[in-house]
Amino acid sequence: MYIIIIGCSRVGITVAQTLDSKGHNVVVIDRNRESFQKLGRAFSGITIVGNGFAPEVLQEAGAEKADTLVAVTDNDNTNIVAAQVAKKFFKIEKVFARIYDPSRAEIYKKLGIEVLSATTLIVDRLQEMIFARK
Amino acid sequence: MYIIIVGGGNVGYYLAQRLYQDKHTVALIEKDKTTSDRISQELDILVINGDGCDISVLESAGIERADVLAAVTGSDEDNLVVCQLAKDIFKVDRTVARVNDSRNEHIFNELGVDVPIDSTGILARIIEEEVSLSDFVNLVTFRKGKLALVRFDLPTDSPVISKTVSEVSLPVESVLVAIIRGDSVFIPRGDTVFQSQDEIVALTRIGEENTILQAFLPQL
Repeated sequence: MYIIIIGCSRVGITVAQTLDSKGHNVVVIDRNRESFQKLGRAFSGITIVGNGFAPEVLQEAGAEKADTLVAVTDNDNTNIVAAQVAKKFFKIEKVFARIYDPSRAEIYKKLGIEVLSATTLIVDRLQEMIFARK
Repeated sequence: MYIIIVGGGNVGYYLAQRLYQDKHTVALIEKDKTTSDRISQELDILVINGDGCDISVLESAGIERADVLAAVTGSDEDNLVVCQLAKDIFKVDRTVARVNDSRNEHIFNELGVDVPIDSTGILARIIEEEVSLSDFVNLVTFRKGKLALVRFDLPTDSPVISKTVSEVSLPVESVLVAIIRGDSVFIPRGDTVFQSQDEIVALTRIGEENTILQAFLPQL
């Protein structure tokens, strides 16, 4: 699979490394060149410095042939816009956006974006664990 | 009109002040506490300290009854998201956004912002036009960038001077809107005669701006 990851955050790095080690084509985009260092030497994918929601940057990242785009910068709005640009401009089939703010996550889910809210995921899991029978 | 401004930087501040002076009802949302405190002391408008991308903050600004929302922060993604929330959740009629990076303007169009304002682009165009032959300025773009209102001065050697409007053949995709002559404004009619130094305002389809100029400027 051809996967574009926007945001070389902790989540971004881990996803990139995992998919890369499994032999997928991975492109990571981040505004900051230094953040790519954390990807490590074993990473064989492509890194691009730039604004991840800019169509020119996505084009350079090969968005036309990408199967999946994952927007996991630490800025909710950047992720939201990147996900929409990926869908509208490049018709990427699977697009995911990480959103910290649970209420905004709900809204964008309704507007048709696949959102991942860590807060909601953890809260749900915690509830399960709290009420799990021994 | 009831207008909500998101972003209390220089643009937001002066926009709020102007709109208030023009007798509009204005609410301003600003993230930074110090800035929002200062603005609420200086301007007689509702100032809310909070994140304009936060639904509850928008609600406390009275977004349900807002006619216009203007997102003028220094971040394009914030401005986009604020406008989308206003439009999709609260059905605000008109959303206006400041475009900080000119390259992002078409994203604003595609993602449903009614009026993206690219101040850098506008400035660049004005400067460009200052140094070029014709003083041609794109005033505003409508309909997701398909229509533009443009203005230019008729040079003294324009081929249309002393001709009437009906004698000049305009490109099919454009309409003359106004002729400004000194302090007066004329709505052009068929028998209006063009004079040297008239200021022309026209509505045109984007991409047809040059065809208009060709009709009015001396052939090079």
